[in-house]
Amino acid sequence: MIKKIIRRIKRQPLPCIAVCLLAAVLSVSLCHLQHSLEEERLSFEQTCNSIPVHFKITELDGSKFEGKTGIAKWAMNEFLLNDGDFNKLSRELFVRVDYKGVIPEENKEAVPTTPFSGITSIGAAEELSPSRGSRVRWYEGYDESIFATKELVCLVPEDFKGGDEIEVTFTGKDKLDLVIDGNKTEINRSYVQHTAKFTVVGRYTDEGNETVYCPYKTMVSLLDMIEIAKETCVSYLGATLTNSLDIDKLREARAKWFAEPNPTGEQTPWEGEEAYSKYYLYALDIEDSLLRTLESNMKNSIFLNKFASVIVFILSAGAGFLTGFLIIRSRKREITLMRTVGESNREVYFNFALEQMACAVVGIVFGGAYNLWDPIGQLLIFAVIYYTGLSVALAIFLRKNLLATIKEDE
Amino acid sequence: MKNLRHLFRQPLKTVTGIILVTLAVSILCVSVGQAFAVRMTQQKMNHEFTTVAMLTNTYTVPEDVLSWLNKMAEEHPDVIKMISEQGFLSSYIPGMKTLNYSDPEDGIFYDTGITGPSTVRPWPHGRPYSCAMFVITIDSVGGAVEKARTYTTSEDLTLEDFATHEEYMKWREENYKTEKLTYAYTVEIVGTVNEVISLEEGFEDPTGRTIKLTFSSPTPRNKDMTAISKLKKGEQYIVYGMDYRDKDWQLRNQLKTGESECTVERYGLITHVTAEIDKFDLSKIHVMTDSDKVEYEKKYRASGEIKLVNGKVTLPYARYDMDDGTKVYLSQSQYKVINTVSLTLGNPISQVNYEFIRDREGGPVKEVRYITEYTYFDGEDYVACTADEYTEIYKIPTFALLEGSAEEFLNSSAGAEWKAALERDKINNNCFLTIGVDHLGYLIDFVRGDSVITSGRSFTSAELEDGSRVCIMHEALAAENGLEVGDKVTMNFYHNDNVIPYDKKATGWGDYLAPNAGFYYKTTPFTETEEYTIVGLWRGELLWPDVSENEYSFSPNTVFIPNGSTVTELDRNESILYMTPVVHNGKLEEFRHLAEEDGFNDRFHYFDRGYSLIMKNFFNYENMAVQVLAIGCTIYAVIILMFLMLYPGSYSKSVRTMESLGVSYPKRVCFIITASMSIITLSTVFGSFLGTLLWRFAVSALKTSAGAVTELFIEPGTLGAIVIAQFVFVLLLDVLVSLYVATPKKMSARR
Repeated sequence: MIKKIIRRIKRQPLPCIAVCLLAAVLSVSLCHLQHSLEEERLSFEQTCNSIPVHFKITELDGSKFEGKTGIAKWAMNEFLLNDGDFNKLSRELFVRVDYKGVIPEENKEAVPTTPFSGITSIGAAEELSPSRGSRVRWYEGYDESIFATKELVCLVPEDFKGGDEIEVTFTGKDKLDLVIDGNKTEINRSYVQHTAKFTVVGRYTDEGNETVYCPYKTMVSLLDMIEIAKETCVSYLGATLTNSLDIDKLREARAKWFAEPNPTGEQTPWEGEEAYSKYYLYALDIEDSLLRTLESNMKNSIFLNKFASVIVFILSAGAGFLTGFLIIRSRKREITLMRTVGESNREVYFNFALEQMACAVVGIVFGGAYNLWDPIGQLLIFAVIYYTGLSVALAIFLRKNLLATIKEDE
Repeated sequence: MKNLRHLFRQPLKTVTGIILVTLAVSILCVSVGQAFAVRMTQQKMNHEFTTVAMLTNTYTVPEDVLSWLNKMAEEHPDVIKMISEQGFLSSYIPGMKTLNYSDPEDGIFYDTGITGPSTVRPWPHGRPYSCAMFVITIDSVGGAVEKARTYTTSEDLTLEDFATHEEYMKWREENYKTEKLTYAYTVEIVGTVNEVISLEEGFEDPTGRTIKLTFSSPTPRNKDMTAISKLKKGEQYIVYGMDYRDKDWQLRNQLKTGESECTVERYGLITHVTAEIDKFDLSKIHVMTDSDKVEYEKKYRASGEIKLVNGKVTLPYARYDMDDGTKVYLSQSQYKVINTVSLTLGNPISQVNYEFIRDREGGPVKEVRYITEYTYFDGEDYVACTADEYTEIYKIPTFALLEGSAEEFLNSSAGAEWKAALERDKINNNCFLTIGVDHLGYLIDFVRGDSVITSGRSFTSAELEDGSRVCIMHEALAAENGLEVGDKVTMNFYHNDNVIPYDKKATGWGDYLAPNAGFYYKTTPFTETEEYTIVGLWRGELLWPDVSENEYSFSPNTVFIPNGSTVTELDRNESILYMTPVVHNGKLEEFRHLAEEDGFNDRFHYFDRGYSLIMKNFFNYENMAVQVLAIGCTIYAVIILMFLMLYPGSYSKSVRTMESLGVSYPKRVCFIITASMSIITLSTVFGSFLGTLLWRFAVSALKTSAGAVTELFIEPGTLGAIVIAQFVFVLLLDVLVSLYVATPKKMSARR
């Protein structure tokens, strides 16, 4: 059988080579098309992932969270604990706790007036960002990474007069002792206090800002010592999504715990198992406008590319069908001769079909090797459609009366 | 035509040929379409992403920076795209309420203060002008009080100018001189509000409450001062002012936020905390007696939270007893404002208008001069005039004796000016700052993400180029007025009168930051009325931003429109809000290098909204699209080749027959070309039609905004050019094949 096919091919090399080449080129093209689409998809994902998506807690109307009464513990846990819904999705947390301390050298009245902020990074203190016109001058050997530590270090304003070592007293929870002595009741009031010694490791320029910035963990442990719950001092809570494409998961998590910012700031009923109050207490603002811009533009384009690829495939398959059809038609004479010498229609069909399929398969095999025959499905469909084309041509031709065919040819 | 008959002899072959080439042309059209879409996407992304430089540590654009930028823009147009200059106008939008900065429902109130913005938000109290007109009964008229300021007449040196403290103290003893200057005389009039003629919505009704009116004048003897001194207790007056304040409400809010300190007693303990008082019950306010004060001091010291001033306890003036037993202790100044409102009366010249003349900045005062020459804006240019002329132009009603009802007075000729003021106030309460932009992404607040589009979209490049009548407003403003994306508003534009004395620009920031709508007045008539469509809503970090933290912020009463959408020329000033150097996307490093070379790098901070992060990947994406195009073209070429083999190529037998019959070579060539080209022509038409149809179907199926969809259609001109080009290409190939097939062959070859 194979020898017969080879003999037949040798007799009419040009059309067979043409079929081979056509199949090879179309296979290469279709494989490359698929490969390009896959790379496009990866490129799209990489592009989207390179856009950081930040999200943060805001007031219900989307405005900056003022943090005057801190934040509920459950909200902090969702961000800070490992099994928290937002912790699982985040790669960088931005937390800020504010408390006032007393630097006795500066403040003889001992009234806590010096604002201290414990931050996880500069991202939690937007006023320090260069985009706000601020500049930070770190002492040698120090940089922003100090905010990830638990050391007693701090960043102070450029014009801070306290020197490079500052002692700060924090006053916390007040204690009331009732002393009952007969008919007299005396109230003794005292406070939990703690004094810490900070090392200044940098200075910043930001007009009008007097805040001293220290690591978040340091501040939290100081608050623990003076028995103040850190949640009551939180003024910023946000994070960056690890994978920007997980934005839908982030939105799902948001729906569970926070409202979407709305311009009127109206309260939205908090439904579901996790509700801690009748209404959502806070909103979560997801800064995804850039991602949405990019996504919508690129997704449109990718959709159109996919559509174009499908059309190209369909049209190419159609072209394959027609090519098979036309190639058979161009060998009408040969087929007529074979019928005349007594070959049955079945034999003629098989001979031509096998010959053409052999050429097509060789072409597909060599062409498909470019992309390791991926997608094999499309290559097979192409082969089948080509085979269908030539089968239809053969069927039409073989059904005709032999004499009529001979007369036509004459 | 004879040659075409040949086609009808083999109709099936002809039809399949037409279908084959149609498919090839469709493939070409679709491939080009997707490449075109990617190019459009890239252009759109180039438009959406902006790269800008932000000036740091300044409120106005310094001259040296501006000259340098202009020079760089000329010398390096491939790096600097433009120096974008935003302009502004004010617009009156009938029926549209502004957002009230001091909306009592909000509960948050910050007084603007005059001293400085560092701890306050500098948005003007009121929405945006707290104009008020009342009928009052005079309770008392104070005498003229002299207002004086101390200024130094010697060199104003400090300790740092001397080597030692002793030297400084010695110099102060011998040289430091000051003088007192009386700059104004004020009269305080206390009355009771009988009727509210006009007051901004949202304020509590002050009827029945005490009103404190302040009138000031540079001299004690001008006609207004004379008239004021004749006010009699018990008389009824109609009064008008532009800085109404509800001092009672202000105090309650300040006690709530802690901005005004008080002490609170609960369970016998006195602490420095905030107090929430919904409304003062006047029957529960008690002025402290001496014994009350002694008792207070004992309790205060026992409570532990002690704040001493010069070693002494600050004793309160009054006590307010709340329903729940809490006692709130207030100072005398706090007590005085309970149940009071205030208003300032006066015309421009009766405000304080003087200036210190010095030889140098910060030097000693040489002379004090009252301003007698003014400039005013008459719509064309500034005009100088005398103080009296200025007052005549800008005067407002102040006070008038009311003998009948207020309505009668307003309808009389004497009340015409007052009626005009009321009408003007109605307009001013519906005015908005309108900023014309080259691109929303050139505004720093947007480019760094503090302000974002929350609904709808930003302006498209077509809208910005054409100056379309579209606008973007704050989402809270839209919600307040029941507006949504797609709604239309009618905007009446007018210029700002920069010399009007009533313009409530944010105190302390001058003309440059925290801008608001200008005061609508007869000197600034409407220049243009147009209908605008809302295409997007925006939101800032805070509804009322703290300008000391964010100089580039805008109030929610700001509307953005494309530059060029108005016939009226926009106003401009040197504020950093309105000038942005724009760099071509991807050229940030080049710009930074240029700035470093000329020593300007420290003056800027840069934003590119992440363009540099994404573009590397985006370029890969574009390459893929080009490859898809190449594949489409390859498939097209292969199919055309097949066609040429199967059609012109298959005529060799017929051509040899024609040759043997003696048909000439050109006629044989013509025969082949005519037959095959007719198929190609028909197929080109069908193929381009099918390809375009498929593409339009795909683009229309996308659920995107109208603008995005429109941009992804292939321009008819481009499509036409591609179709013609491929037709010419195929024609040429067909001619070549025909020439080859029709060439006479040797006898052996014929066999």
